[in-house]
Amino acid sequence: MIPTVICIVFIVFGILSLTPGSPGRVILGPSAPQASVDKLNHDFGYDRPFIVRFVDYIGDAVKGDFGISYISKRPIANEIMSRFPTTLILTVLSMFFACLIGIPIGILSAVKRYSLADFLSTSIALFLATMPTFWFGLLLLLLFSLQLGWLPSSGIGSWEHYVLPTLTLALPIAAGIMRMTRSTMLDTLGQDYVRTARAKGASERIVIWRHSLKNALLPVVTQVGLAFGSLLGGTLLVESVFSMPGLGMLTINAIRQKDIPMVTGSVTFLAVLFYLVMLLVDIMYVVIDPRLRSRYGKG
Amino acid sequence: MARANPIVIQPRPKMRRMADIWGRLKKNKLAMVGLVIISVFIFAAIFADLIVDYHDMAITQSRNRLAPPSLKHIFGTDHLGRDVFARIVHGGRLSLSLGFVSTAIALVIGGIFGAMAGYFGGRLDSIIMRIMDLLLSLPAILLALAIIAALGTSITNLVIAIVVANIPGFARIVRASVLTVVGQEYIEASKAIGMGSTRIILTNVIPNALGPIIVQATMAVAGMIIAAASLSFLGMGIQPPTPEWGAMLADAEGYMRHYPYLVIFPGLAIVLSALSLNLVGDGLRDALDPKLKNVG
Repeated sequence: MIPTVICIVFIVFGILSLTPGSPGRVILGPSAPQASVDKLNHDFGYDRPFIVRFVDYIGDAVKGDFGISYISKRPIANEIMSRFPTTLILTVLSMFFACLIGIPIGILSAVKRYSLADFLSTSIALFLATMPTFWFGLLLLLLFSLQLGWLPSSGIGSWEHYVLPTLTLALPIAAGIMRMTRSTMLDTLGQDYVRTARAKGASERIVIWRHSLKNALLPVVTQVGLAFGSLLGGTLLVESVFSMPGLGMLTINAIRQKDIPMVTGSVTFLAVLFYLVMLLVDIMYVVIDPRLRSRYGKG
Repeated sequence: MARANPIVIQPRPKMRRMADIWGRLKKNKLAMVGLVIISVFIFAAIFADLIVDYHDMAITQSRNRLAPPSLKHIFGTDHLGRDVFARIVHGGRLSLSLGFVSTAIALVIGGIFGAMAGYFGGRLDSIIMRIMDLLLSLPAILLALAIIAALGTSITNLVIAIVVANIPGFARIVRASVLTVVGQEYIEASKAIGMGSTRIILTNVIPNALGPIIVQATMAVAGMIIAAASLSFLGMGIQPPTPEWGAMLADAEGYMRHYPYLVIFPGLAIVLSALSLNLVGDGLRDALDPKLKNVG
C-alpha cells in the first residue's frame, strides 16, 4: 500500500515538474525579471534536484506539511482541510443517493423485465450515463433555481445548497449502478440455484431477496467503488458549476492562478484519497463475499 | 463465460464476416439511430463551410446580440451577436476531431504497449502493466488537470491531457485480445516460417483481436468528446473565441438566466454525439459477439 501511495505522489509530482521552464517562471509569467524568478525558485526550493525535492516532499507530507501556497501564503494543508468537508459531504451524499436510487430500480427492472417500467428506466439510464456532469448541472440549475426559484444556485449556506449538486452527481452514477444491478440480477435469476429454490417451493420474494440479490450485489460493489473515481472528477466540475468552495474549486482556482505548490498539494491529496477509497472497496469485497472470506480470512 | 470454441479454426473469407457483422448491426435499431446521428454530425463538421458561412454569421454580426431563436438564427445569437448554430456546426469540427484524433493517438500508444506486453509476456508484461495500473489509479480528470497545470493551456496540451488518461484502457484491452490469440496454432506457424515479431503482431495478432478494440475505441471517442468539452468548460482547454462546444457553454454560463437556449443547444450537441457513439459501440459489441447477446 505505502509503495503505491509513493508511486502516485511520484507521478503527480513528476507531471507537475514538467513545466516548460522553471516553476518560478510559470508562476511569475514570461515578463518577470530573471532575478525574482531565481529568488522564487530558491524560496520554494525549486532550484534543488528533482529527486531531493521529491524525497523532501514525501517526508514533509507524512508530517502533514504540504508547503505554503504561493498566492495566499497560507499553509496548503490548512487550505485543503478547510475545503475538504464540503467535498466530503457532497461525495458521500451523492454516493448514498446513487445507491438508494440505482439499486432498487435495477432490481425492479430485472424482475419485471420487458415491462414498460423496465423500458423507461433503462432508456433514462442510458441517457443519464452519457450526460456530461457539468451540462447536467447547468440544466438542473437552470430549471430548479433560475426558472422555478425553488433552490439556491450557488454557495453552501444551508442543506438546500446541497440538493442540486448532489442530484447532479448522484443521478448519472445511479444510472450506472442501475444498469449493473439489472444485468447481474438477470444473470443470477437464470442460475441453477434460483431454479432449485423455485422448484422446492420458495416464494418469489425469498427467491429474489435471499437467492438472487445476495449474489447479484457483489459486482455492484465494484461498480460503486469505481464510481468514486468519476465522483471525484465530477465534484471538480459540480463545485465549479454551483460555486461551492470545496477541493475542486481550490484546485481549479490554483491552476488558473498558476499556484503550482497548491496544485501539487491538492491533486496529491485527491489522488491518494481516491486510492485509499479503492483499497477500502477491495477490503469490503472480501468482507462481503463468503468465498473470498474463506480464502483470505482467518489470517 | 468460457466459450467452448473461441476461435474459428477455418476463418471464413473476410468480406463474408464483415457482411455478417453489418447484417446483425442493421437489426439493432438503437445502434442504427446512433449511426445516423453521428453521421449527420460528421458530415456537418466536414461540410461546415457549405452549411453556414462562419464569417457571415458569427464574426460580422455584433449588432444583433442575444437574439432568441428565429428563422434567421435558428439557435439564436450569443452575447457577442454570434450565431449559435454556426458556432455549433463549426465547433463540431474541433470537438469531433479532438475526440477522434485523441482516441487514435491513445489507441496507437496504448496498443503498442498492450501488444508488447501480451505478445512477449514475462518481465516486460509485468513492468508495462504495473505502470498502466498506476496511471489507472489516478482519476482521469485529475491526471488531465495536473498535465494542463504543468504544461499550460493549448490544443496540443489538451490532447496530451486526455490521451494519457486513456492509454491504460487501450493497453489492457489490446493485451487481453493478444493473449487470446497468441497461443493459437497459426501464430506458431508464422513463427515457424520465420516471420519477425513485429510482422506477426501486425499481420496476424492485431487483425484477429480487432473486434473488442473497435468497440472500446468507439466508446472512447464519446468519452474524449466529453472530457475535452469538460476541460474547455473549466477554461483549461480550448480558449475563446475559438468555437468549441465546452467553451461555448462556459461563455453562456453568465447569460443562462435570461437566455437559456445558449446553454441548451451546445450541450445537446455534446450529448447527442456522445450518446450516438455509445449506441453504435453497444451495437457493435453485440454484433461482433452474437453469443453474448443471446445470454444477456
